Amino acid sequence: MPLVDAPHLALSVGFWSDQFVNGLTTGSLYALIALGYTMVYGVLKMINFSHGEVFMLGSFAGYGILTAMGGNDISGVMVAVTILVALIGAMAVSAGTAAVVERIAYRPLRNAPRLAPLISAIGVSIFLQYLVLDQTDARAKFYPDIFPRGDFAAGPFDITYIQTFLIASSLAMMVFLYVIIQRTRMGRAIRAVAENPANASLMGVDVNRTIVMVFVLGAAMAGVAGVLHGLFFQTIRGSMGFLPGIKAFTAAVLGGIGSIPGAVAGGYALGFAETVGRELLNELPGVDLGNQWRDVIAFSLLVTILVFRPTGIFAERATSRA
Amino acid sequence: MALLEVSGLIAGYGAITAVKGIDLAVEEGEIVTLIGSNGAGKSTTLRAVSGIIRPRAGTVTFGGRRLERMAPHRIVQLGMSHVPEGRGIFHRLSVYENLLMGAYQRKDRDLDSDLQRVYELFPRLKERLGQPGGTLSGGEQQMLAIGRALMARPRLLLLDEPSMGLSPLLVETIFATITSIRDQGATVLLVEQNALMALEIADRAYVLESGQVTLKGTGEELGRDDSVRRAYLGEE
Repeated sequence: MPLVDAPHLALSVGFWSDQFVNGLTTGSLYALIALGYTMVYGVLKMINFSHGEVFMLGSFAGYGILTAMGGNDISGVMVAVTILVALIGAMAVSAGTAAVVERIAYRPLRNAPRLAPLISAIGVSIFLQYLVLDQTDARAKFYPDIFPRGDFAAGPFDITYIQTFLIASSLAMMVFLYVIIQRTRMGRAIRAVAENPANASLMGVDVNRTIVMVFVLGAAMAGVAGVLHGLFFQTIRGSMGFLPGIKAFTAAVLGGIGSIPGAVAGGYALGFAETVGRELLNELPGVDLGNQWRDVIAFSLLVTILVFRPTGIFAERATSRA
Repeated sequence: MALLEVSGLIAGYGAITAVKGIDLAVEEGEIVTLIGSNGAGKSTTLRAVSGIIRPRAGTVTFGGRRLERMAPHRIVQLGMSHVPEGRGIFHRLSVYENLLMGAYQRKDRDLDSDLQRVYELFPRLKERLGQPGGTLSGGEQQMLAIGRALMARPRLLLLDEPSMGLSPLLVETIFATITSIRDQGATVLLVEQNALMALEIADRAYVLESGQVTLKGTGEELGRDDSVRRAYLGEE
């Protein structure tokens, strides 16, 4: 890295390790959300643009549960219990929403021209976003401040408890999803439908039910991401789904849409590009990119990928349809 | 009543009507073959029976149940396995996973004896269990397609062109296997362009032309029929 001012780098190990942890944190959220985009694309070849709102609804569900169970008064072991309940509740709300949306907004358009479900998805996205904005008078809500503060050092890294929790539970969810997809009967059915729905139905697979399961699994990941986002950033609002949604979509494209490992790799790649990448650019003489530049970097990356390697890092092989 | 009864079947795709009123019956324990040239409506008939396409008219009765409006996965649950044209192997699933997909709809999870039976019929598959299905040769894929269908323990097996693209030696193996599958209790409805081989193993046969049955009889009768020999067995 000859362009980078090496002495400066060497002097600020703490700074760079912080950026690294930030990259991991953001990347975890992008990866969790990106899984939903990539799985739906895998079976339907459709971009589910309402997925960001499914994430937002999960965040609000978690907020509702935490508030109902005591809000800022929750303490001690109950903190862990309520957060667990909030995570499960958010998964359920997100999954339920996605299942209903699939049934009423996508399934009737399954055989329509490809633009139709895309527009339907954008419509659902706007509907859900404004529904929540309306119900909250377009005001932000604040997650109860119950997560234990503090951090610990791991080598050069200084990680807060909440970051540790966020990264660890994201990874746990990804492993959980991977096991379902690779090791269970339902996972085999999902992969079979992704490859060839007609052949899968000849095996006795209920294709419609399997597609619902894909939406449900992806939405559950987004619901968890919603709660983690709320616990970490604390501020949530009805419009919060848009940007993470489109970033996660970028991550899925970056990794190779349709590929599950690709979504994870793309999520973390984007997370690091926005944090570590931006600060590395700042090391160039005369460059000073503020925090807002992370979006510019993310979408420049999207355009670059689309131009030079539209299949993404983990290109899904073209499905052979017998 | 026959295991499978098709009556007045009309089916096709878009503006094309490939099957124009077909009647046929398959009795329990039989091998019945549909022969005819390309485009005669053989594959379309199988697809309408197994529910991949919806018949436009006519009835399909299987084991006393009407199938015309039934989803394909429900038809599989009734005991019908369809090995489609092109074999329908899942290229990205391993050979073993493909076999498991064959047993997808089974309530019992006791698959060992069925797996053993498939390995006995096709030892090559056992050597390739971990490989993605897409890496198999054409012959191996055909073995996998048939083995996978057997994993469902079907009452009726629909086979669409199992000899397509295979070496003569492999075709012999596949046809011997079809006979032994029948001998073990399954019923087979076989679509073939290789009419000679098909008529040899079939109890009964139907000749299809332009979407209609033009001739039917036992395999032996049709094998001797002059018009069949001229049209499908390549004799002048």
